[in-house]
Amino acid sequence: MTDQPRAVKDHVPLTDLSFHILLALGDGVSHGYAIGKDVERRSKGRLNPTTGSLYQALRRLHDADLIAEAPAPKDPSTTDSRRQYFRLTPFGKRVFAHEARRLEILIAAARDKNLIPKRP
Amino acid sequence: MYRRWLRWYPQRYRVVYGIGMERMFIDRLAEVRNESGCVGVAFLLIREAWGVTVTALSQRAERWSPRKSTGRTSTQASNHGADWPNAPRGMAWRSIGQDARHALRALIKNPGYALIAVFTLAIGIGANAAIFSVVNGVLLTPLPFQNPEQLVRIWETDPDGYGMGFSPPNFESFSSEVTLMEEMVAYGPTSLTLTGLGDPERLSAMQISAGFFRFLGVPMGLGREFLPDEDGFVADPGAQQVVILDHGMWQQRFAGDRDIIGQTVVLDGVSRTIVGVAPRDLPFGSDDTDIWITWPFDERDLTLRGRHWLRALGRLRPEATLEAAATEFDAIAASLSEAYPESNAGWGILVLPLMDEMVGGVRTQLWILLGAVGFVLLIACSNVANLCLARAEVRGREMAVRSALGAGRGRISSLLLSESMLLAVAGGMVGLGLAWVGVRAVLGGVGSGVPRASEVGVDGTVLGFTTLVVLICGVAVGLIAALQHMRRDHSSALREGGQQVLDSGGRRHVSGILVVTEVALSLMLVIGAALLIKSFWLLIHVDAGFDRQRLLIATISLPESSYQSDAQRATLFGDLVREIGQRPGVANVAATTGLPIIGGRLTVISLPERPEEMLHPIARRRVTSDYFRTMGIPMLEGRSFNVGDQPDAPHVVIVKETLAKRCFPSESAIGKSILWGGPDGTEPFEIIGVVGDNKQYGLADEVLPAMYLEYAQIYVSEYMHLTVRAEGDPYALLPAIRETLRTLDPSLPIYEVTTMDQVLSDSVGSERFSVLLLGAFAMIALLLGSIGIYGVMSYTVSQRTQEVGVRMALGAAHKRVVSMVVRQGMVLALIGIALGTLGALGLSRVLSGMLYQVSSTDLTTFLSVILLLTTVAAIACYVPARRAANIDPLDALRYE
Repeated sequence: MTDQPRAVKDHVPLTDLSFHILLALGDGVSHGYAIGKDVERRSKGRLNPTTGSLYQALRRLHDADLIAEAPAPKDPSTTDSRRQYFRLTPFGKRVFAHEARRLEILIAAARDKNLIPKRP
Repeated sequence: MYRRWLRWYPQRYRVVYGIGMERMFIDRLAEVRNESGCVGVAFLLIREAWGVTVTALSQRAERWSPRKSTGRTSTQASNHGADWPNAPRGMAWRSIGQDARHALRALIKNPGYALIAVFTLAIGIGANAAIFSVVNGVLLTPLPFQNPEQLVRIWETDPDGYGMGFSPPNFESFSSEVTLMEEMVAYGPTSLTLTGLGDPERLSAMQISAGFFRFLGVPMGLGREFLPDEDGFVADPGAQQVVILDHGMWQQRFAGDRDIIGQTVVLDGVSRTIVGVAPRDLPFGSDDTDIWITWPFDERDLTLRGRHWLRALGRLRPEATLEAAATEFDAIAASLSEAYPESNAGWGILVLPLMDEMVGGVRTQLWILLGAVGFVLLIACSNVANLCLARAEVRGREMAVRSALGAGRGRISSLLLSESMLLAVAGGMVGLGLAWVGVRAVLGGVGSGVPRASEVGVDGTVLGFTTLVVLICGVAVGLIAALQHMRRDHSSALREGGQQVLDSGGRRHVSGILVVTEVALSLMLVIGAALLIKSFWLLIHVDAGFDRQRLLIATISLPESSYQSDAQRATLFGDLVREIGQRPGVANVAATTGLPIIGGRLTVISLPERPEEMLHPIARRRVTSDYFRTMGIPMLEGRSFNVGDQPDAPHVVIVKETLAKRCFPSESAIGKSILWGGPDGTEPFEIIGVVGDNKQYGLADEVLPAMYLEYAQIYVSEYMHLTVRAEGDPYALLPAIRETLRTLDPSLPIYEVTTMDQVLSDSVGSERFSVLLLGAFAMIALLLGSIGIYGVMSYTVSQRTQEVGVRMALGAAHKRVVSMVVRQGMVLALIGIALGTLGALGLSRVLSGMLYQVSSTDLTTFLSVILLLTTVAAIACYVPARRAANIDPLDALRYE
C-alpha cells in the first residue's frame, strides 16, 4: 500500500471516476453511498458505478494515498457507526489540484481556438 | 446476504472495506425499494451481483500476479482509450447491456465456435430440464387432493406379512372403531358389460364408498356423488341402481352432454341411473376407469371376514401422526383377532402415505436419472470450458494488446463472463425446447412405467430450475476462462511474437483436469447404463416356466343376472373352450382364473396331519383340463384334469413343484391330500398331478407355490381368461373367437385382448424406462467425452506445431512424434478411467435395488466398459496425433 510513487505526476491523468470521487470528497468527509450519489448526480447519470466498482476505485485511491479513512463526523442524525467514511489526504489534494489546473489550461486553449464558447 | 457475496473478495480487502460496502448496499437497497419497488430491487440485485463478481475477480487477480510496474499506477487512465470501442474511459463501471453487446459481437464473428458451444450446452441443460420436469411432476408436486399429506393407503396384512385388501366386515369394524382417522373409504376395480348402446362393451369400473370424491377433496364434474343411503355397506342391492360416469367417458361416449343426469344405462343387465360425472383428470387408480359404481354387497358379503378384496384409503386427523394411527390400528386388529380367530388370527394392518404408495416404486429410479443428467451437464460444461480456454488462447494476443493498453483485468474478465453467460442463455433456450419435445416423446413411449405421468410438464418450477442451471453454467464456464486468463503473463505473449510460450502450463493443467473429469464421469455413466442393460436383458430372458409364444389372451365375464348357477357358467365356458379348439389355426385352448405374471387369488391350505398349521400364501387357479398343455407348462408327475373330475366326484387338485416339495419333501405327492376350503370349512383334496414351476407375479419374483382346481368342480368363477395357442399369428384368431362367443351368447363381449408377449413386455415397463434413458445419457456422455478429448488433443497439437516441427527437423521419427502425442493424451484418459472406476465402484451400489441377478460390481461389465473407453480415448488421441506426424517441418518452423 505504500509502494506507490509519491510524485504527483505519476498519478495523472486521473480516471473519470477517480476525479469525481476526489471532487465529491472536496466537501469534506463522506461515505460510500453518499459519494456514489454525488458522482451520479454531478455526471448527470453518466457514471453510475455498482458498489463493487466504486469500492474498487476507492481502494485504488486509498492505496495511492490520495484518500484515507476518516472517523465518523459527530452529528448523530446523519451518522451510522457501520458506515465507512473517507477524506482527502493532503497528497490527494495536491494531485487533484494539479489535474484540475491541467484541465484548466486545456480548456483555456480550447476557448482561444473558439472550439468552445468563451465565457460570457 | 450481501455479506455472503463479499466472501468472494480476498480476505484483506474484506477486512478493510467489507463493512462499508455492506452498508452502502443497504442504503442503496432502501432507496431503490422506496422509489421503484420490487422491479427496481430486482434490477439492483442483478447489477450489484455482477459488480461484485467482476471486481472481486480482478482484486483476486491483482493479488496473484501483481501488476508489473509499467510506469503507470492503477489510478491513471489509459492513454489510448480508443482501442475499446464504445467503452467509457476507465474501468470503473460498465452496464451489463454493454458487456452483452460486446460479447454478442465477438460470438457472431466466430459462429462455428458459438454453435458448437450452444449446442453442447443445450444438450446438457435440456436433458436436465427434461428429467427435472419428470421429477417435479411425479415426486415433488403434492397430489392434487385436499390436504394430500393426510391421505394414507391402508392394507390388511396376512400372518406372513403380505399386504392384502380388506374384507367388508373388517373394513366396517376398523372404520367405526378407529379414532385417529377422520374417515376411511373403500374402493376397488371391476368390470361390467354395457349393453343397449351398440355392441355389448366391457367397461372398466371402480367400486367406491359414498362420498369418495368429497373424501379426496375434489369437486364433481357434474351432478352429485353417491349418497350415504346408496352406499353398498348399508343399502340393499335394489337401491344401488346409480352410476357416476368418468369424465373421459362422458366426453367421448356421451359427447359431454350436460343433460346426461337422469338418463339410464344398462350394466350387466341392470338398468342404472346416471347421477353424476367424476372430476376431470383424477390421478387415481388406473387411467382407464370408465364408470364409478357403489359396492354391490349382499348380506353374505358383509359377514365374510375371510374374503379380502377391498382397497382402502384413510384421512388422518390433522393432529394425528401416522405412527399413532398405525398403533391404534394394530390394537383394533388384535381385538378382532381375538373375537374372530378363524378368520382374523394373525392379521394386522399396514398404513402408508398415499404419495409413497403411488410413486415410491419409481422414486429411486428418478433420482438416479437426475444424478445421471447432472453428470452429462458437467461433461457438457467441461467441453464448453475447454472450448472457451482454447479460444482465449487464440485471442491471447488480442487480449495481451488490450491489456497493455490499459484495459484492466476486470474488463476482460467481465467480457469473458458475458460471453459465457450469453452462450449459457442461448443453450438454455434451445435446451428447454429440446426438453419440451423430449418429455412428451419419452412419456408417450414408455409412460406406463411412470405414475402420475399426466402431471408432468414444463411449468414454472422447471423454468426456474433451468434458469438456475443456466446461471451456474454460465458463471462456471466464464470463471474458468477468466481465472485462467488472469494467471497468464501477458507481456510474454507480446514479446514472443504471438506464439504462445510453453511455460503457461496453467492452461494445460486446467484443460487436463477438465478432460480427466469428463472421462471419469463418462465412465461412471456408461458402467451404470451397462449394468442396467445387462440386468434388463437377463430379466426379459428369464425362464418364466411356460411357453410365451403365439399365445392370445382374452377375458370373458358372465353377468350374474343371466348366469346364476354354477352349471350355467360351467356349460358356457366348457362349450366355448371346446368350440374354439375346433377352429382352424388353433393349436390349444384353455381357460383359467389367473394368468402367470398377472397373478390370481391367494389362499391358504393345510395338511391333514397338521390341520392347524396354515400354509400361505398359496396361489389358487381354476383351470380347464387343457391348461397346462396350452401354456406349455410341463406335467412332471401324474395327470391333468379330465372328464371324470365332476362336482360329485372326489375333489382333486394339481400342485406346483414348489408346493409338492414343501409339503412332501421326500416322497411323491401323488395320492396325498391337502386341506383347503372356503368359508364352510376345509376338506381334503387329492393331489393328482405335479407341474413345473412358473412365475406368478412378475418375471423378477420368486416362484410362489400354487394349486390348480378343475374349473367346474367346486365353484365356477364369473370370469375367466381364455388362453389360445395359435399356430400362426395370434390376433388372426380373434374374429373366429368372437364369432364362436356370439353363437353361444351374443350379449357377451370379449375384452382385455392381448398376447402373452405383450403382457410380459408391459410388466417390465418401468425397467425399460430406466434402461432407455440411462442408456441414452451414457451414449451422450461418451460422445461428448470423446469429442472433449479429441478437441483438447487436437488443440494441443496445433499449438505445439513449432515444437513438433523442430523435433522432426532434428530427425525424430514419424512414429515417435505420434507416440509422444498419444502418450500425453492417454495419460490423461487413463487417470480419468482410474478415477471413474473408483467412483463407479462407490456409486453403483445405488443401483443395486434395480438390478436383477447382476451384482453392482459385476466384473465383466466393469472390464468391458473400461476396455471400451480406453479404446475410444485411444482413437480420440490417435487421430490428432497422426496430423502431428504429417506436419512438414519446414512449414512448422516457418509458422511464427
